[in-house]
Amino acid sequence: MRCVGRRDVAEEIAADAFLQLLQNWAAIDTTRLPAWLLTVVKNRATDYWRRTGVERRYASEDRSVRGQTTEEPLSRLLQNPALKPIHRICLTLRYLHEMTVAEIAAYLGLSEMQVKGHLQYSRGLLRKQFAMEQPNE
Amino acid sequence: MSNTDFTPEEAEFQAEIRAALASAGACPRPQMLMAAVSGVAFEGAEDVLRHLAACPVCGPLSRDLAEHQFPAVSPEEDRRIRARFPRVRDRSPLWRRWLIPAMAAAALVLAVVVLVKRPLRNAALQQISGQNPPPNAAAANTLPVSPAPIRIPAAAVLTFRGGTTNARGYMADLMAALQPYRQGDYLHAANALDALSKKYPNAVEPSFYLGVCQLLLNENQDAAISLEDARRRGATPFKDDISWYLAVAYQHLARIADARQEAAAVCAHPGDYHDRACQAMAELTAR
Repeated sequence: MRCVGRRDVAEEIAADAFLQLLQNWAAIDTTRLPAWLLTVVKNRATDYWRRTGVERRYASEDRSVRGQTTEEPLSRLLQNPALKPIHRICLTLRYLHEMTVAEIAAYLGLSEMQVKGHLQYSRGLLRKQFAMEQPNE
Repeated sequence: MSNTDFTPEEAEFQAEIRAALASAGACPRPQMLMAAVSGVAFEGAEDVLRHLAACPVCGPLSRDLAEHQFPAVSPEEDRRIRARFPRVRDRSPLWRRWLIPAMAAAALVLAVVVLVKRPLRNAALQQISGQNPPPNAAAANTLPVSPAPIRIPAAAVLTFRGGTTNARGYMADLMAALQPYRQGDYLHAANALDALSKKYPNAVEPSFYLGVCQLLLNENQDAAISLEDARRRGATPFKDDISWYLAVAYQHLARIADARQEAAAVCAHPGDYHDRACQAMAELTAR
């Protein structure tokens, strides 16, 4: 789910892995079963990314990273200790990756209401931080 | 991912942090980031990893996402995954189509052998452990116990929990603990599963298979406790299995009303244990 971002695709991959398991049961060393399953899942995830062709689009984009120090403004904002990991995730997905609330909710397995709540809390916190920093800049 | 659902307040906020956002560079999509981190070898994965090493936003994001608990497999997803298997069996070569019925027949023979041997085995075990025989365990009247089939938890693979480490560790531990179970050594299996159920307090499988082992060892009181514990842990994929084995445990303990209630729950809908449960219910009601 983490690697493909869509539950239906993750389900397809998991089902395919168990199917492979059934078909190859006799030849599998059961003590190495977890590693075997994870290898199959990784291979299926690789196939998925190849099919989507998204990686090619990414490869053709400008991948330069500007502001590579920890003093970089966005990362400094995200380092606010009052932000929990889930707040940082929602903020980054929403305002950097410009995902919709529905997309974030589907990816993280949360309700849209929960995502909106996390975003509202985070915005309020960062606005306060901004207001404190602005007079010095 | 084009965003069309920004509220005016959000658009204003984004404008406020525009300078910060502009400094972040062209970041890969989070799914692609996590795929690269998890070792999915797609074209461009090396570029993503290079970006990750340098980007002050993607590094923390990948760590946060690795810690995030994605929801486990829902009963509906579990049912859909399981539903695919019979279709494949139909397309299998002839020898494989015979394999499953042959295995079922072998399991039946094995069950008969185990049931015949069980009183001897139990007597020996009771001598070792000093346990008293369970109440009302007169062989003629007890529901038969057969080993539950081993099921691999789909959730462990589907959710990629904790960046695969936890899932992999759990699966390895579970398979090792079930190895003696597979070989019919229920005493060693019970010891291993007991330790596993303490190590993974939220996992259903160790408690469930521990309960089955204890039933097979005629430790009915302990079996009922373990199976009730499995149910408390979230029994969804094993709902019927737990109800059926609890019905057997309760019946062995002479808790006939409880046994009838569990059997009725299984008998109420189609499933692997449906016929056995309905038959047991009829027998329990007739007593």
